[in-house]
Amino acid sequence: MINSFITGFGLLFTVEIFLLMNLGIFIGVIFGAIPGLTVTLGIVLFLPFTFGMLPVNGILMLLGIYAGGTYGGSISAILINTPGTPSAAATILDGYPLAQKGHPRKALMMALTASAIGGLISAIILIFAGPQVARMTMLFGPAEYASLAIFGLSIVASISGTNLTKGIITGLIGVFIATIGIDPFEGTFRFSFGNFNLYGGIDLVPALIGLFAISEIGFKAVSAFSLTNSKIQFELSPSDKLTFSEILMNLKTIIRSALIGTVVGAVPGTGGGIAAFLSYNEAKRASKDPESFGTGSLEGIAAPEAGNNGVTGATLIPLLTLGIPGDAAVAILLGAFMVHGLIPGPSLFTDYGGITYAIMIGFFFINIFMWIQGTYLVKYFAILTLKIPEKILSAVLVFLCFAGAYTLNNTMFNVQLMIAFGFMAFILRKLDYPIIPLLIGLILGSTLELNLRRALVISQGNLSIFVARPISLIFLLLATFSIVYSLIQSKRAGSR
Amino acid sequence: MKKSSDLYSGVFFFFLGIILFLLIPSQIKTPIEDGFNSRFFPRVVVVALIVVSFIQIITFFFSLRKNNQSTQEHDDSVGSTGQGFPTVYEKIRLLKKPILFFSILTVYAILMPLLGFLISSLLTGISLLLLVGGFNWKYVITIVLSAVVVTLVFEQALGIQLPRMWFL
Repeated sequence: MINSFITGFGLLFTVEIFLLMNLGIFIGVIFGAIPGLTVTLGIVLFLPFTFGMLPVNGILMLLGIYAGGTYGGSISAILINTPGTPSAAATILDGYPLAQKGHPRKALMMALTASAIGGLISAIILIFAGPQVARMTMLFGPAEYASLAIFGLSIVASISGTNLTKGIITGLIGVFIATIGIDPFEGTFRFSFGNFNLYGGIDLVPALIGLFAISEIGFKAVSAFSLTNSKIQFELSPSDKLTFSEILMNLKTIIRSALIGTVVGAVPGTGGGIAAFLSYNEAKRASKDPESFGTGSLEGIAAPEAGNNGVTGATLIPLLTLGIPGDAAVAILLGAFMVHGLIPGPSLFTDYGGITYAIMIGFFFINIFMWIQGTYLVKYFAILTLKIPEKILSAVLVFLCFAGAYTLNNTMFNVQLMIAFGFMAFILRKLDYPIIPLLIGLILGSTLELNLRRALVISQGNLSIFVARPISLIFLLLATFSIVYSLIQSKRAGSR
Repeated sequence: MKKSSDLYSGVFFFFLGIILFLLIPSQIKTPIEDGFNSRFFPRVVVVALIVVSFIQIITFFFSLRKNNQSTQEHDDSVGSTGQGFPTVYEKIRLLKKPILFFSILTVYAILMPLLGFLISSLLTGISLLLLVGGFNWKYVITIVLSAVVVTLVFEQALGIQLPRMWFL
């Protein structure tokens, strides 16, 4: 562990990596701040740019987009009363009123500082908890991996909300698509329809770009973007500063919210939005001045922002150690790891210990850089993100998608595949089918098949192997709990 | 409240599952006839798809019956005349833009190997501007610059070749 830690440090400290982390943060803040663009879209679009990079460089640039985007959502929440990302929705409650009172810069700086501290706490917990969880997973055999994949797939239930059957259907489609191509045991081709491009299976990158970028751009183009009349009403005066004593006064709230975010983030299927509202409620409950909440309280900005950025590091724990994505953005990061030849899961810490530590330590620095960038560039972020003419965005994003899909293998087949996935996702979304389960199915499908068949061959077809082994049984129970709980929640929501 | 699209999509996935199930023997040639061969897992997934789609169809009818009962209880409250639902004309009008959007992308994919990335991107960019109703020369110039920047970043900074014109 110590060796990997030292190797990780060695890998991390290059000018190139630090520049790429900052570039990622910059891109992420812009994607997070523009309502209608998402962190997920930012990661998908810039994933192809990392193909030619070393894994550490590429992944850290994408993590920069992830962290920057999570913070960026607060800029539009505070300045134009529209959250740039769903996880910034709670920031509106006090951010916008404080801006209206003539303190927009103070509100933005509180959001930034709380986000950075939340992210830092989360990164520290990731560095220490990640390897411990990974060590536990060394005991896993095929039955455990298969049950783990089933648990991962059960997240579909919590993601689907009231559309449980629809979520399961798209999840199954994802798993089925994962079976296309060569069979890992027998070497026979499956559903390739004689097309040699499909012999190796469906490439993840064109599928990702199609599912999340093309369908999203399609929706934007069709509705011609909705943010046409947003104007910054406030002047960001340099005298409107956040003082050190104000930070200190809110530090307890920030730390508590960051810890709430970390716990929420470590549970797959949750996300920044839940963490932000939980943190806000908890801060209000514990506050000496709860009446000030909703009227422009600094505490009311600090809590949700520390909470949602507290999620960012913690959500990497199940991702790196178990290969289980917690939400859409992290599912795409999982795809990015795979594209770079790093298969998240227990072996990541043993086979690529140095790289994994470099990524985890790098994530710590990303939060520091985010604070520095935010402090000095906040005014420019506001101008840049809210004055970009939306009408040209769809065209520019389409260029990035096509170039990205093509450059994976320099083949037009991937471009066609991307359009097909985009069209499929567009139709499914129009019919209220969630897309994230499809991606989770696509990513976890091959792990499930490989280990399920291995376990069944070992046990000679005896299904009791999955319940006879305690860890496997725990995962199956967790999966059952996740599905039953979601069913109950869905039924309650339906009856309301 | 279930929508009719839930029923149609449920039926679609039900039949898709059946078609895929029937295609498995021809699309997966396996030397091992029984046990956990290469057909095993796709079969499990497809059967699950058929079952879940069937549940979706059944749920729709249950929900319909429930709604009918509540409609009878509140006879005067529901728009049985169909008011508020889009007409066929409106449905076609709503579909026009998505169809145009994906048609533009398809033409872009066809033109890219012939005209190269840069030229085909410019044509696509202008078409998309027309689609979103935002055509003006300032935007056209921005799109030209964006296409050039994307090409330069991929080709010069990242060293990745994008498609060139077919004769180059």
